[in-house]
Amino acid sequence: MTARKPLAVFTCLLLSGCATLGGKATASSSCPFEQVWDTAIAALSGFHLSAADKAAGVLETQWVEVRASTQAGIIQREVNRERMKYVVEVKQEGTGAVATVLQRREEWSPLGVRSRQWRGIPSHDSEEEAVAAEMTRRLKEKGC
Amino acid sequence: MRRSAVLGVLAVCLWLGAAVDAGAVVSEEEFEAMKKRLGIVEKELAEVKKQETAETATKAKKEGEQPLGFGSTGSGKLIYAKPFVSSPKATVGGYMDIQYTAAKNSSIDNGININGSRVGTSSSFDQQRFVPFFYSDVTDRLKVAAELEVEHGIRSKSNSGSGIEVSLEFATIDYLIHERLNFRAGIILLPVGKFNLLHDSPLNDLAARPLVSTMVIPSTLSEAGAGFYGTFYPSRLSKLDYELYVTQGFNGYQNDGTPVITAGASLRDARQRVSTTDDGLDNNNGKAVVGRVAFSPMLGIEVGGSGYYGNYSPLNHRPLSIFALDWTLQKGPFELIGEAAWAYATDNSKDLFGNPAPDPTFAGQLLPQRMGGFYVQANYHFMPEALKRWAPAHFKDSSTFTGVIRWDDVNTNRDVAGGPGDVQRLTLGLNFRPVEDAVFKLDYQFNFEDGKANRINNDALVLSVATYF
Repeated sequence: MTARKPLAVFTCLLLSGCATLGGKATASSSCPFEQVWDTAIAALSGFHLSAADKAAGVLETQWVEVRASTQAGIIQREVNRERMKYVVEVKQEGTGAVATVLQRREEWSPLGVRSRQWRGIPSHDSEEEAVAAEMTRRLKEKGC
Repeated sequence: MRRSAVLGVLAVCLWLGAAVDAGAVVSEEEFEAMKKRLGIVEKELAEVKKQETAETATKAKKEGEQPLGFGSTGSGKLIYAKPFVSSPKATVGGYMDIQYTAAKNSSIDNGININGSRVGTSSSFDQQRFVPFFYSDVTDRLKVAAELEVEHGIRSKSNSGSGIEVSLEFATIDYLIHERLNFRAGIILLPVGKFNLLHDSPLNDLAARPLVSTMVIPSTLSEAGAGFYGTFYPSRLSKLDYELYVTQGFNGYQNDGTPVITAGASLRDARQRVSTTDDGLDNNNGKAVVGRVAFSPMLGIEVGGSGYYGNYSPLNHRPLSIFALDWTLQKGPFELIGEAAWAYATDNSKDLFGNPAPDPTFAGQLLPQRMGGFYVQANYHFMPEALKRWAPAHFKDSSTFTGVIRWDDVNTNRDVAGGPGDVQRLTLGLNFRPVEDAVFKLDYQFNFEDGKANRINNDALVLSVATYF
C-alpha cells in the first residue's frame, strides 16, 4: 500500500471544503448598516449574545438547549439533547445592508461513544427564515 | 405540615419560657409541671409527624408512585431502587450485537488444532459484543462516562486460545472548564483515527470493522491517562475539535521478553488492555502522547489528522509512532468516509538485546517495523415510500436502508509484500435501520489475503444485528 492513494482521497476532500452553502436566509434593506445592525440585535432579543463584533458585522448568540428531535436506543428514550445558536452577519450592500442568518445546531446522546461530544446536525431552515423575516418586518416598520 | 410547624413553634416557646422562668425563682413543682407539659407537646408533635408520613405514602400510592427502597418487593422492581438508575442525572444503557458468518472453505479460525492441523469452520454465530454503559452528570461541570465491554460473552471460562474478554473500553471523568478547554482523565479512547472514537456496532453500517482500524489502529484502543479536549468555531460554518492526552503507552513484549508485535497479530497484542504487566501497569517510565485535530469547514465535511508517540519497550528506547488521516463527506443521502494509518515500531525487527528477531507468524521474515493501510467506504441512504405505505408500523419516517461499498487495504509488514498481514477486502453491504440506533446488516466480503497475487477463496456472507438499548 502506498501513501499516495489515501492522500489523494484526502486532498479531494479538502478541496471539496471550498464549496459554499446556498439558500441562506437573508434580510435585505435599504436602511443604512447602523440601522440594520441595531435591528438584528433587537430581533435576537430573546437570546443572550455571546459576540457582537460591529466592525466585522457578526452577531452570535449563546447556545440554547431545545427539545431533541431524536430519541435514544431501541426503546426510544427521551435522553438525547439538542442545542442551537444563531450567527448573523450584517454586510453593507450599496447604500443599504443585508443581514444573513445562520443557525448552528448540534445534538448529543448519552449512549455509548456519542456521549463524548456534541455533533453538528442540519439547521432548521424555517427557523432561520423566521428570524430573517422578523428582521425584515422590523426594518419595514422603520420605513425602509 | 402546617400543624407540625405550629406545634414545633409551641414547643420552642414552652422551652424558652421555661428557660426564662428558670432565670427567675421557680419552684420545683412548677418546673416539674413545665417538663410534663413539654413532654406532652413533644409526644403530640411525634404523632403528627407520623400521621403526615403515612398520608404522604398513601398519596404516592394513590398516584401510582410506589416509593422504592430496600422494602420494595417484586423481581423486576428492585433494580430501579438503585440511585444510579432512578436519578435523573444518570443514564444506564448499552449496546449489543450478534452476527452469523458463512465463509468458504472453513476459513473461520475457531482455534481448534488437532495433530498440529488447524480445523476451522465455515459458519458460526458470534455474539461479539455486549457493552453496558453508564453516563452521569455529577454536577453541571463534572461528568462520568464508562463502557464495560463483554466480548464473546457466551464463554464462562478461559481456555488456552482465547480468554474471557471483560474490560472497560473507556471510563472517564470530565471536568468542563470552557467549550475550548476541558479536562478528561481515566481510561481514554485514544483519538487515533476517527473509527476508534465511533466504534460502537450500531453506529457502523457494515458488520466487520475496517481492517486498518483493527490492525494498524487496533481498535478498540484505549489507555489510562489524562489530558484536554475542546472545540473551536473559527467561522460561521466551520468547527475545529481537538483532543490531546498523555497516556500509559503500548507494551510490545510479554513479561519474559517475548515480542508481541508481529505481522500476524499486528499491534493488537501490545495494547494496554491486553498487556501482561500486573494490573495493566506501565512497562517503562515513558508515557505516550496522543492527539487528534478534526476540522470541519462546513456541516457534512470533516477531515482529521491524528498522531501517537510512545515507547513500547521495557528495556530500551523503542518508540512506536502512529499517524492517521480520516475523512467524512456527507451530501444528501450520500456519504464517503475513510481512514488511512501508518505505524512505525522502531527496532521491532530486533529482540530486546539487539539480535535479529524472526517473526513467528511469518516464516523466514523478521518482525515488522512498518505497517500501513486505509479504507474507503461509500454509503447511500434511502427509504422507499412504497414500503412506508405498505407496512407503516415497520417502515417509519425514522427508518432507513443503506447501501454500502467498502475497500480495505492493509499491510502489517510493509517491508515485505504478500505476508499474512497483507490483506485486501471488498465488502458490499445492505442494512436496514428501523430506528437510527438499531440496525440489521447483510454484508458480503470478497477477501484477498496474502496479497492480491495469492488470493485464497474465503469470501464470506455476514449477517448481523446491533442495537443500543
